[in-house]
Amino acid sequence: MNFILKYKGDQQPDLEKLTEVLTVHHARIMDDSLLPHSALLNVEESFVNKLQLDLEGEWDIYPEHTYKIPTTKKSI
Amino acid sequence: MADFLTQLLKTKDLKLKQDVEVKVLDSIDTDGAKLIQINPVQLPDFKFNYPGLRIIPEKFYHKAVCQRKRISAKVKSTQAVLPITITINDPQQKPIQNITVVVFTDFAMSRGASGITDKNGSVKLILDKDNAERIYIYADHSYWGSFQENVKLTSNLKFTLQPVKTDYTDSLRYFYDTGNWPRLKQKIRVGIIDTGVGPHKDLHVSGGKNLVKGEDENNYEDNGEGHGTHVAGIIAASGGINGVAAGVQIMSYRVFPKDKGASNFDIMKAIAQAISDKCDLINMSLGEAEDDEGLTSYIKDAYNEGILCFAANGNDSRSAVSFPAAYSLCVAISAMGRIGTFPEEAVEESAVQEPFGTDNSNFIADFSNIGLETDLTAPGVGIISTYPNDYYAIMDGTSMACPAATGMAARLLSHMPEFYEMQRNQDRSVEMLKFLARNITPLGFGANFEGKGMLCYNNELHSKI
Repeated sequence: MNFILKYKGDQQPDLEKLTEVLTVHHARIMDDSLLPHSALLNVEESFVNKLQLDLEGEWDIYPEHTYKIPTTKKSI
Repeated sequence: MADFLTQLLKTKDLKLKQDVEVKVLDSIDTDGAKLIQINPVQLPDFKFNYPGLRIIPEKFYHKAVCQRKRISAKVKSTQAVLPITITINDPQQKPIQNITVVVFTDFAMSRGASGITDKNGSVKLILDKDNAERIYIYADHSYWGSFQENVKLTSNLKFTLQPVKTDYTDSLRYFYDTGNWPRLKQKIRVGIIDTGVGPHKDLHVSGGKNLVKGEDENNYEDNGEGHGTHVAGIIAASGGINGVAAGVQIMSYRVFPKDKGASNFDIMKAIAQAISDKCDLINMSLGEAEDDEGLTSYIKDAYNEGILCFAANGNDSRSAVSFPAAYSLCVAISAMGRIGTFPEEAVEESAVQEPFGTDNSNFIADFSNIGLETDLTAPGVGIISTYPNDYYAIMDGTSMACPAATGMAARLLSHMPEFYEMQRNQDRSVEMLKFLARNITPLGFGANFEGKGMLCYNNELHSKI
């Protein structure tokens, strides 16, 4: 499952430390275009709580959502 | 009176105007959140007077008692008793292909059948009754849709669709005389986060990016659904039709893969790109029910860089305002319409519902989401705008109301004297909101439906610019 990683701090994040923690939890960065502040991550859902703990509060983790185009058309 | 939790970002700066009665009921520490009491009617004034404050309705949680099960079965196909052929023609009796026909024999139960017309303009449907409660006919482009009630079903039925004429006065042009307004000469840039924009002869796209994973980042034309092109035309079309802010620079940030939802991460990337491209306004005609903290942080980043985000309230028939519109740093837009600005028997007739405004031809569209997070209303029923490959289409929704408001905001801000000198920071966003607040007219729907009202130049409906 995909999750969004968002850095909480004001200083530059320690990406080396981040990479180490992600590796331990078999998490894979799917999209690094917003690094160093955010990234799209693929990780097994059951690992997320432990991953969050090991990131020591420096990063938030949110699930990837999808947004729809609001439609007004009726359907059966 | 309603209670609201207010996170005072600059508590000491809060000096309430005498005409807005606000009572502080409780507080978490001196500089923390406040529980306030305010008349909902005055809430829009309060929000526009103190932009940047996070105002959250007080919520009450209930014990997690298991609810009784409710039956909500929707029968989608039943025993077939009546095969019918429906043919759709234009006024010259020429058949029209690719028209969607939806026939409800029981609207409440969502029972009926639907299909798309073939090259002969015909679609065969099998129904369970000989009477249709409602028939909806939708064209992707070039024609108005049709709405029929209580139709006796026979083996062959024919309907005629009216073609879209670009000089027709729809609800957008009733309020905003876009055909006679001058092109914007001042540079102002609007980012459109959507399905992509164009190609269309009435649209000039200044730049953009495709943020969808796995797609060519340089292809930010419309993905074929037409939604983003319609949104862009409402803001910036110039030629066959005119948008509200013809002459404005538009940037296309494509986040929707064709016929799929958009990832919040791709929307975050789009906002980051809009910040990097120094947009002044961002239009987001999209939404979901749940809050999304990832997206929130990027909308806040945009706000802190002097960029205002406009978002559609959503089309869930009077449900709560969708996210991101419900986020306090977004400008949330509901959709209104006007009787007489669409042909008889058009689909738009089905959107007419209370409340009616001070002028009782104006109404809040039946599909529009509502709530006290609403900041503004704008025309969103039966809107004529651009569709890919030089077509014109009619669309309805808060998706259309949102760019009407964004475009009008762009036009108004181009007249704001200090706009071009201000640093790109949070203060710029605050000043932009305060300036816009001086150009809003209430239409008499009430704050829950229209927020503070509709953007109008010098508070005059039918703005003469």
